[in-house]
Amino acid sequence: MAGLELLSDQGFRIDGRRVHELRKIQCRLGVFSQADGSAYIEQGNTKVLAAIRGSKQKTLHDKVLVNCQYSMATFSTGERKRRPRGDRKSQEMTMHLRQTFDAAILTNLYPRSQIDIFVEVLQSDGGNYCASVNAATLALIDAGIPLKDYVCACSASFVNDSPIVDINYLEESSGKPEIIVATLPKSEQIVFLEMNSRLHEDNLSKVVDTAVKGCKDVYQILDTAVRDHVSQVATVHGWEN
Amino acid sequence: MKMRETPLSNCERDFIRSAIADKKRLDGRQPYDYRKIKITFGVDRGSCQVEIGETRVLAQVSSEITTPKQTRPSDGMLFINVELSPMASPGFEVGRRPDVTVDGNEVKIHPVEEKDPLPLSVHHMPICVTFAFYEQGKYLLVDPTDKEEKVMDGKMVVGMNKHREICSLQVTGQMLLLKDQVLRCSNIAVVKVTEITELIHNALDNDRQARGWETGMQYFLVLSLLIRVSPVNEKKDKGVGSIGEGGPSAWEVDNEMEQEVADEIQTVNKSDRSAEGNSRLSGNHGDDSEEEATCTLSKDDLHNPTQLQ
Amino acid sequence: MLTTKTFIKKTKKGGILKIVREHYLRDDITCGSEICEKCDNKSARPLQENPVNKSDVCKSPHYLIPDTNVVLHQIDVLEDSAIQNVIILQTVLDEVRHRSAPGYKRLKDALYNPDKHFYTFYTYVERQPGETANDRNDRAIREGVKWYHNHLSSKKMSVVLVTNDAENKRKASEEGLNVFTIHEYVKSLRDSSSLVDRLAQSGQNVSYRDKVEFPEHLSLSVIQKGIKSGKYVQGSYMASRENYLEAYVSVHDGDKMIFIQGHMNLNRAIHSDIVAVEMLPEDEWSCPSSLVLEEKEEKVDEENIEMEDEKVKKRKIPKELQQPTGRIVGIIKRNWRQYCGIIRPSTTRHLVIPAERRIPRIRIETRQAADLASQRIVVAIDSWPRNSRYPNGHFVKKLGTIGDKETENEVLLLEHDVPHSNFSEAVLSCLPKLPWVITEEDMKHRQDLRHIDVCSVDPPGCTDIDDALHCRELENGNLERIDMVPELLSSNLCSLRCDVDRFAFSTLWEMTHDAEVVKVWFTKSVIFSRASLTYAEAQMRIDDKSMNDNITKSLRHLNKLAKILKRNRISNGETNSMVEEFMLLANVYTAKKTLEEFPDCAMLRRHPSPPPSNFDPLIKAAESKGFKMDVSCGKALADSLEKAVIPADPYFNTMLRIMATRCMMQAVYSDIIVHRLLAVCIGADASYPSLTDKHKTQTLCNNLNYRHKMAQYAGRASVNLHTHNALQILIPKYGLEGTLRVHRHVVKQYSPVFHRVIVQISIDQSNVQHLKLSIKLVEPVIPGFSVAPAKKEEEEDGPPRKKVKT
Repeated sequence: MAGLELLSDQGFRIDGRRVHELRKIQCRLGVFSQADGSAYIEQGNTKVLAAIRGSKQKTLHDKVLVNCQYSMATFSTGERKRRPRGDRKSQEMTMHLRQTFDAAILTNLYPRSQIDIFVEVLQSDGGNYCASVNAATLALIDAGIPLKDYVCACSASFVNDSPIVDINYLEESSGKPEIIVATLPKSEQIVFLEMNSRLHEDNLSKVVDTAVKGCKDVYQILDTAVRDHVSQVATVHGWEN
Repeated sequence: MKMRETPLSNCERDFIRSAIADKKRLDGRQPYDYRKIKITFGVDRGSCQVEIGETRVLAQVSSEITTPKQTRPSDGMLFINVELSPMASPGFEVGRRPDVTVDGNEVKIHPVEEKDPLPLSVHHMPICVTFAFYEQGKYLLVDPTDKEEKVMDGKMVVGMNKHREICSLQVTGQMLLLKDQVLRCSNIAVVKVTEITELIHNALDNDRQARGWETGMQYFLVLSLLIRVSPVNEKKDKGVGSIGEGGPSAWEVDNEMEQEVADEIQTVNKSDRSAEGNSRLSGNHGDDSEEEATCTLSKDDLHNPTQLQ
Repeated sequence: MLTTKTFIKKTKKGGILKIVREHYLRDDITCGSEICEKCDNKSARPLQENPVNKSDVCKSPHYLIPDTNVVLHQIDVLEDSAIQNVIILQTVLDEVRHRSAPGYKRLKDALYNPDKHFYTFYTYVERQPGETANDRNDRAIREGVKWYHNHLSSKKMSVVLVTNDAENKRKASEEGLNVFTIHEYVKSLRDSSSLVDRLAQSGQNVSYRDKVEFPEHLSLSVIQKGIKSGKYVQGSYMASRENYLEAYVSVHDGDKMIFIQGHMNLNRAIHSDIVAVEMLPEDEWSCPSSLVLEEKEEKVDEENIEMEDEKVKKRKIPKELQQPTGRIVGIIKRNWRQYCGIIRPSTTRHLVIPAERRIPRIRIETRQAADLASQRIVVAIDSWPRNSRYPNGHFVKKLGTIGDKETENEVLLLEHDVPHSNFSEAVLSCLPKLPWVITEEDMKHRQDLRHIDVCSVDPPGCTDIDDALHCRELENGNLERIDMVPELLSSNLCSLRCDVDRFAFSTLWEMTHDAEVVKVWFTKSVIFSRASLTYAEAQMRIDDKSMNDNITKSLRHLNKLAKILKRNRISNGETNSMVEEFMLLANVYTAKKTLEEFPDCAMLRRHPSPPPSNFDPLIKAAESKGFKMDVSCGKALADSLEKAVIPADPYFNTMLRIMATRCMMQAVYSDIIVHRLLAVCIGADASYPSLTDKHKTQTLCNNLNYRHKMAQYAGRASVNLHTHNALQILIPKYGLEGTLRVHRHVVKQYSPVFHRVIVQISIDQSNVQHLKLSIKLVEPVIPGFSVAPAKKEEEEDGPPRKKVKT
């Protein structure tokens, strides 16, 4: 009788957000000193750690080789299931991340080099890809690697004729369409786009718009975090002004 | 990075690219043309061969009775097995399952001689259309061939049914797209999907006539595989769908008898499984030749078409 | 970013799965009052500055905050226009949603209604250690009231908590809040007399003179255990139409029906409840009494119902007739709705006799009994205490004077669960504005069939014309037939009246003159009906050789085709069956189409095959005339029906077929969902945004729309298959069917099935709720039973027939 009401008549979602509201995002740059760059991000209950390592390689002589490794901590989900690295889901995610950043990093600046991006999902509550992308972006910035722009990712769904942004696990598993977009927010260029479940073509535009708008909101937060971090580092090093 | 296949020579690469810039393609198609699709059904039910240009796919469907999962007692199970690397091509099937009658706890499976096997019912038929992008989306090709794919920046795969519902959509590759480009592709996909659906229906009609099934309603099991263009000699793609599950069969009502009964068409509506059937597997070590198998197949419903007539 | 505080709720489920959910608490929710200056004044503010609730207990202007139970049980009161400016706390809303779907729907309707000035407000209270969920909710409600109290006190606006929970009330008044029970509050309202009637009866400890003591219902947990262990079975309760002391429980898994008999065994279950049944030992098994037993008007209350039960038990049941019999031990879910009925006034507590025969009388308390006596009213059931012979309920509203056409209409709609209340704004805004014209946009997706001479054929006086037909000869010699159903559901737009443009879904056939279908397709269309004909008019046109206009030609074609289509059935094509024939064809083809296009959406109902025992009456009836029926499968049955023809008696076969249908329908009739509209609706337009969701709604609409029709159908079909003391009479001339009550000895004396009789018919108005067709036997003459022929008029028109069940 009482199924989940994903969107109440008063316009609130299950967790109390309105349709256009992101979950609370908290992030930190430079969480590890061993890695060349690192970042930690919390998007609601989804918590992701990203680290960057640089090294040499020989295969590609004209650009940098971007390598990714995505994994989920065994304690990250509700089910107590062993999640060995390299399962198919992680492989897929790894590939998506690699493609995303291959497109966003100015790869020709580092020939014969390799950038390793390690992403570990510590806690999962929907939007793993998005949080991973956002964390990796921050980590890359922390490592000082030139990017075309921040890469921001955000998901969206479509409930009761209304698009909703940044969906959590509950909304993800409701069987409603899920669209995941990674963009370069300034130019609104789409780096990655994936959708599953059935969505009528007429609604595609609305949902993509919502996700892209979400990416821009994420960008604002990430940018503030980066600026704060930089000014903090600057203070420590006495580089003020 | 491992490359399993010989990469194109720079020369060939440049040639294809410049041809695309001139709106020309190696096989003489226009940018938005689909390759020629040929659909052949095997002698046995449940077997079908589809040719899209130089790509050939054989699909075979088989079924067996199994114990359903405890959590989903009224659903059957579906297994899809794709051999060899795939890309866009709809392979599909005219599968039949034996009729099943359940009387109390006794389940009787009618041999084919006793009752005509029933067609599987398919919820909807998603068709995949692939778009390849060149020069950061400046040029766009529909249904790229193997070689065209090797030089593309990235691609977009749209799975859509004829009701214009997008079932899956994926943009991959190292390129940047604008929203409008995505929307344009989905619009093109609408047209292509309609064409291909029509084609499949025609093929099924022909098959039905060839089999002398003029009256029965046609259901078919669609196995929509994304089959990668591969040279003709290495064909061994095989999709195996296994449908288990019995259930109460419709009481067979003679059509002429009473109209009231004919009104009660019994159909089963089960949640759409397409999401579950969707699996995407990518190349192990991040090589470029990803394998994709987007398989959308609906489970079999209990339905007795004879009631309809 | 508007998110404010984050709070994490942790829930454990099944011990293994740990669910961690976020919960965003907001500080941007406004109080919704017009007088408030503190809140953001841009958002909606439905609560009025000067609320009109005039109460003696709270004289200052105030808003009401009801608790969950008040909303659940007193929704009829809250829906009254006298109650306005109500704050529904989210806690309450959620609880209502979990506990009662219809209640939730009604509450939502009230929230939507701008005239009601209802507002939803959110409070969040964390559960304290040791606190039950209920206590937490109560506290949350009190917190909400307190918040409003503080928030609005500077504006001289009070808030009133309405709760019937003594503990909650005590705590609230300790906290200095205004709190009343709903009864106190409503009674204090000026001009509240009608409202008081609508209060649900809460009095549990009233004693009744009924001298009954029903067995206690088991608690849900006991039932659940019992069901698991197999001691009890769960099923839906279906009261018998014919005998108020009998019912069946249809068990979900499987096609099993459990028979229930007698007051104590029925144990206060009401039609359509979900109940738990315990099987009786086999030696107590019983069978339907095969008597039509209606609750008598007189003094039945006084009679000890145990006596009645005893009477029932005394019957000797032959072993072979026994059916699995059980007794109801508990109610899993009540499926009460509101019932139409008429009141039978007595001193204070009055009995309402529901229009639906399967519902027991309902006892209500009202002061306006005298006024209501001549009215059709709607009542709701509140409870059925163990010591009461009848369930207790309360008055909801009047529908109007008995016999008034509008009123009777509404009763029909209500009783068949067709939403009869005014449509909400949202619904109305979806409909085209009146006056309604066809726009360019509309024409884009439609085929213009206005040039075709379409007409409709319906029974006389039919207001909703829902089928239009057409047939014309094509150039290639084939016939093109079109069948149309209207598209919109609203009354004016819906009916395919003649001489106006209408949207329709059309099914087009190309057929040969031998009625072989060459081609069939479906389209959305615009049509222009040339004539609305009655069956008789249509028949006249067909027969009148002088008429040769397009419509008549079309009708003749149709008739011809119908005849051919029917050639395996009856050879004479009355117009009546012509329409049915084509509807059948349309059904079959649209169903096919729907299945092809939307195998997942063309969801209808599956139902079990009728058990062979259902066919017993048919077999017996046929045997009496020397035919043998093979009911092993549909085909065999059809074949045997085919053979059962008495040349001298062309109706025999028809009647046999009718019977066969009923035998099949009996198990399923109430649930047949005619899918025709559904099929056409979605088959025509393949690309409609949010198709999947839309047709869910459509299914619903159609379902509701059709239930009305189907219920009539069902009523007709369910005619007492089991009655021993009555004869079924079919009068072909009027398409009427009725029951002729006879004494047993008459049946014995004169019992052949399918015999021709002459009867006299009139309308029996003795029971205003159920106008009955009264049938009196004229011929054969049975002394002391048959009546003298009235006028010779009876005899001229094809002799009526009768069939008897023995």
